[in-house]
Amino acid sequence: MLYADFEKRLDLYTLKVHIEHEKGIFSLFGASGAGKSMTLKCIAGIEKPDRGVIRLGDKVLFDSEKHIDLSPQKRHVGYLFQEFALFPDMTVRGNIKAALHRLPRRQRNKKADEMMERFRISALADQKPARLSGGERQRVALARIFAAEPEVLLLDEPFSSLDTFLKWELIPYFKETLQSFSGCSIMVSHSVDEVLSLCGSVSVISDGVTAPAVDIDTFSAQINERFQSAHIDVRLIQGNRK
Amino acid sequence: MDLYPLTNSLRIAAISAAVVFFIGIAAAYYIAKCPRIIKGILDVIFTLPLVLPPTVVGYLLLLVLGPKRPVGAFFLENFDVKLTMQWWSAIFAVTVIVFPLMYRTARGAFENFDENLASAGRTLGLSNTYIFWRIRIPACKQGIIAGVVLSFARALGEYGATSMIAGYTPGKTATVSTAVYNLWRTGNDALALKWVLINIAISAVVLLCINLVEKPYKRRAR
Repeated sequence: MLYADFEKRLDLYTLKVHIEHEKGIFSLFGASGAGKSMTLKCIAGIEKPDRGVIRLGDKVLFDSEKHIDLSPQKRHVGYLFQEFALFPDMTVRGNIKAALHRLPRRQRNKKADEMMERFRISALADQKPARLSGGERQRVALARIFAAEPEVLLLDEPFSSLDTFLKWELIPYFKETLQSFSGCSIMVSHSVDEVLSLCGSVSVISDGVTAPAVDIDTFSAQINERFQSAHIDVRLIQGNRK
Repeated sequence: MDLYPLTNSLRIAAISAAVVFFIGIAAAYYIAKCPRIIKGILDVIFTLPLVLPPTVVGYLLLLVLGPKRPVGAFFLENFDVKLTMQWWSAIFAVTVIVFPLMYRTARGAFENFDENLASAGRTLGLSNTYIFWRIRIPACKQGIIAGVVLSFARALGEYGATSMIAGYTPGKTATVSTAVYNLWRTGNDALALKWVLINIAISAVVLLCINLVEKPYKRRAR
């Protein structure tokens, strides 16, 4: 269970976030620059909100009044960055082993092998990230995140750096992976089809303010309505031209 | 031919480059975290030795390290060590002169570093020390190596501040650059020319090394 209720002043607007999410995949849906990534960064502890509370289960990650601000290292969030942020000077195996640094040295190799098998990247173990394709990078990043055993997943536009064709190839596998995860996930996206195919509930964020969350069917209906009104608009424009 | 100036120059340059490696990286790393005004002031101070005449740097160093000056007198009284006119006195001069080169190249490399890599490391639970040495420095290694080699090359050629703080004593504080000047001054043109040629050869090799370091970097960027 993730509870986040905080504010942060930014250059163009003030970010006002209210998220209560029990389980499954939750989407923050909005245009570029609406504050989606900043929200995730605040939850991960990379950025600091001005005031508010962020809780993960019983654990308080941030509370401005009680002056609690856990470091990202102590928050145990799995953060999937837009470009995946793989460490360029380490091999695939090295990247995954880095996330296993808490384990004794001998167990690290074994666990890394397990993770690579699970994410079907064993053949790439000794490659550097620069030589991988977009889809492979995503799998390595996921393997690295799961190796660190996170309590919540934060996914920042996981498909934005991949082409559309590849995206549709990857989504089923991606969904399966997320469903196997016992905690909750928050996915940031500006693409309707990604949200509809992956998420269970949605909150629309615009100019930094989150709207109350709705379930995916309601969201789907809202979107359809908008599309339909857009069609009518298009027809009117065409009619006027005639 | 007495090769003392060469070995002396090489050890001064090597030690200075090593010192500057650490303080240049530290300065470049911490200045990025300073508030804007302090950053601007510090940047000017750190870069100043690059544009000041080396004689001015030498003069300022003597103001501090000279035997009758605060730091110099302190060491003379308490440790019976004179900080000037030793072979290693030149290290002070060379380090100060060369510092901006290391600082600026390291800063440039750090500015191109993708901060998301550090953030990713932190969310994975990696310590800041680990992130610095295992992720940030390797990602910036081309710039940092170029900075060290450039510093070493410049250190070999330092003359102005060195001659003021270490002087020229053959077999003791003589370096290649001070030897060239003093051999020419005393009319020993033939030997001066030999040192000139040695100096050119070393500098050319060092610059060649810089190019070799930078090439793979460009290839990867493409």
